[in-house]
Amino acid sequence: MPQPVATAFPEPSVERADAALWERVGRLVDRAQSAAGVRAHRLVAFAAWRARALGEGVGVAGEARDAEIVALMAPLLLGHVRAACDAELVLLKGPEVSARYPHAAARPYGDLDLLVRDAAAVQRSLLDAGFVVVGDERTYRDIHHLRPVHLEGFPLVVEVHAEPKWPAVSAPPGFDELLAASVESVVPVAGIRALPAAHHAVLIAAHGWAHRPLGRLASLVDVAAMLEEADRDEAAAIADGWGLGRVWRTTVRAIDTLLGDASRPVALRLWARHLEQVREQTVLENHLSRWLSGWSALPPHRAAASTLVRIASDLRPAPGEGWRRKLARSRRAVANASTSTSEHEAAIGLKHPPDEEER
Amino acid sequence: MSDPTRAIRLREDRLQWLEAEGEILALDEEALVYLGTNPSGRLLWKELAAGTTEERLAARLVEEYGIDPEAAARDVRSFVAGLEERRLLVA
Repeated sequence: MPQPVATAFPEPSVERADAALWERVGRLVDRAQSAAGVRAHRLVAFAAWRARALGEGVGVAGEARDAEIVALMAPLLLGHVRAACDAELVLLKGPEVSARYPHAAARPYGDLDLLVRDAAAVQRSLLDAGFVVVGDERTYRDIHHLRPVHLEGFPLVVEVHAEPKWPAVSAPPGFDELLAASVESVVPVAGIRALPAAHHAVLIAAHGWAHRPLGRLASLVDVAAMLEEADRDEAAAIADGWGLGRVWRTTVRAIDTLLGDASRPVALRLWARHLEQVREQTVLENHLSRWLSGWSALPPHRAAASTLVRIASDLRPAPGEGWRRKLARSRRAVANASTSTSEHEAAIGLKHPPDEEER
Repeated sequence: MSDPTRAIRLREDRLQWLEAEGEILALDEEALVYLGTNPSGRLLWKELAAGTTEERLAARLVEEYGIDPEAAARDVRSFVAGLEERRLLVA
């Protein structure tokens, strides 16, 4: 019998971001008028961790407890992935971001995003090793990663990426460029790579913008956590090189306003007011975001074109929708202009796939 | 010299842990340190989670692995001392 041992895993090779940042994030979360606002911005686990740290929490919210379990299991799962294939693997977001938070419980994640050179080959290796595909095939058609794969017994899935999720303003950087810049991951599994903080901060900003420009606080807090460790000039140069200069400057300005005392950028005054108030976007703000966010991401001539295209698209009936139905929908949208988007969508019977925001 | 009949138990207030693939994975929430055990460590860990004594732990090792009682007692002492050093046990 080997001697019984309980050994500590190697410490992450990164410093958790400065306590002052988390105090500022905490003050921002305190502005929320409702629990729904905190949930909409994906900060429930952070709020629960903070309440516990301040001695105010009786227990730990389910999200925070789940986050701890996932953090414990992630290295094991990555070990299985590493054993299943010998491809170069670059870990994006998830554990890399969580390691910069004050505690694993404060930053949950539900998947491991792995960027690889040949996504189909890596996916095949994982399936050969016992992973199984999950999720609706239609949801993952023609997007930046393949269908998630799951290994029995693990509370999180693996997503094999052919490229990072990227806004339409430029083309994403290639795998070889990202691999060349990569460093050892914070996860204690040999052979797993990750991006340095400056690259990662810009990539997370791009990912968030591609989902919804300045959509959620959690994404901005992730960028802020990475940025604490990065050189801001280097990050700005990387963003410029990737054709994301405007997106990056808008993102950083929003962070500096929300977590500091920078003056409000136009976006926070017009269509992203929900961030400062820690609430869901209203129907009106959502439309304004669609129409105007291009001005924070594109040169003026392209932004003007983007605005016209989006307004025209919003004014026309959707494919298969008649004008009568379109007008009824528009009347309801006007009547619900100050209603949260989720309430409005529920009222008109619009349902999103549960994991749409996560793709 | 510690008393092998003293009641000891893992500190639930600062440990999150689970069993996976024959091992224990644990997070010391206060020290922000992850811990892992080998299979014989898992056996002791689970006993400690329920509350036990060093004497009973050594008996479990003998029962499970058929090792010499003195060696079992030494191994248990070493395991328990490691957890005590991390302040993960309560009496």
